[in-house]
Amino acid sequence: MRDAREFEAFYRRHMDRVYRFLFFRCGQDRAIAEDLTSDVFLKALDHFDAYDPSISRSAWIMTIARNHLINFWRARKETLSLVEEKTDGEEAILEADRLLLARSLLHQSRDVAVRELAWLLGLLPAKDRELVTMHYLDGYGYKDVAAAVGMTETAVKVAVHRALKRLRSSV
Amino acid sequence: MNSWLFRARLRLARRRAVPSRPFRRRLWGRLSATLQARRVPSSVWYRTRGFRLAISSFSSLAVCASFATGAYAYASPTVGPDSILYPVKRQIETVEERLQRTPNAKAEFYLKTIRKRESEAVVERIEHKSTRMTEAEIKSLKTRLRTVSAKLDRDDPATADLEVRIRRRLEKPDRGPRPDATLLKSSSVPKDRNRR
Repeated sequence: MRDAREFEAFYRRHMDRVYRFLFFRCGQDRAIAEDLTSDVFLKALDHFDAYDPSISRSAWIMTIARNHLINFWRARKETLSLVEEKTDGEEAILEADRLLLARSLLHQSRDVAVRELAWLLGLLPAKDRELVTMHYLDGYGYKDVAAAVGMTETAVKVAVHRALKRLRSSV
Repeated sequence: MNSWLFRARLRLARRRAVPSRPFRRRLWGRLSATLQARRVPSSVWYRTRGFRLAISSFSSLAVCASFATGAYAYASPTVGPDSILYPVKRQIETVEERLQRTPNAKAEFYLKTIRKRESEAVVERIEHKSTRMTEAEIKSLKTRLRTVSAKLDRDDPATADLEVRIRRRLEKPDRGPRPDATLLKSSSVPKDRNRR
């Protein structure tokens, strides 16, 4: 087990983002988001020795959060058949993200503005939607997004800019 | 909807989704309790600053004490073959001997060591101890001095003086000088022994 101070710094850095990521994908229910966030950080604490910030500062905890969320929906018998049919790992994750985000924002939100937002996000291609969501909704900086998706920071900036431009022209 | 409004709405949604303070405190309490239960290395005694300071102070003291002991063992004529520091003295002398690269330097070293052994023999006689080992050592050193004196550097102007000193030393008898009467008085020899 590494230093307690190191884990505290890690917790403070990622707490808000992990919570936000889960909140928007679990039906915007605060109680569920809090439960899931607690579970994710306890899991992270269990495996903190495997965390290497030099590889990626956020990808590790986001993978734990995403897998935990998928398990949560699976346990609620809301099977992600589309995800399970996919053979490619990355594609399956993007598809799961789309379904969870759409389900949460579009179907479980009473706010018209949020539903409109979900509809707009749905218009974007999977990869662009992931970048836009990570940066604007989950609150990750371009550097963290780049590390998480395996792109350069400049490429992420350009992709996000183009996605927003495409969205404006399509609407 | 333009992209500016879209981004503004995304940011607004993000600002609304913030974990509450009681939840933050509760979760960190749970995590820190788990951390403490697992005895994280930062809190264990051997990683504390005090312990590290104590270890470094102790190591520095140990190093200083070793140097002081070595210096005393090397220089003092009271450290003879029956002393526990004698092996330390011999080790230092072995290293010193190996460091002498030229025959002249080696000869100087043997002269100095013979003088030291003779002082030790004097102390041994004062304390009524056996001088057998020390005298054997002087004999061995003289043999080595004789061997090295054949290889001296004749071009060196200091060699002539060195040769004289070597000759004088080799001509001296193996048994060292008799202990001085004043030294005998101040020694810790039992009185009844002196009377005899």
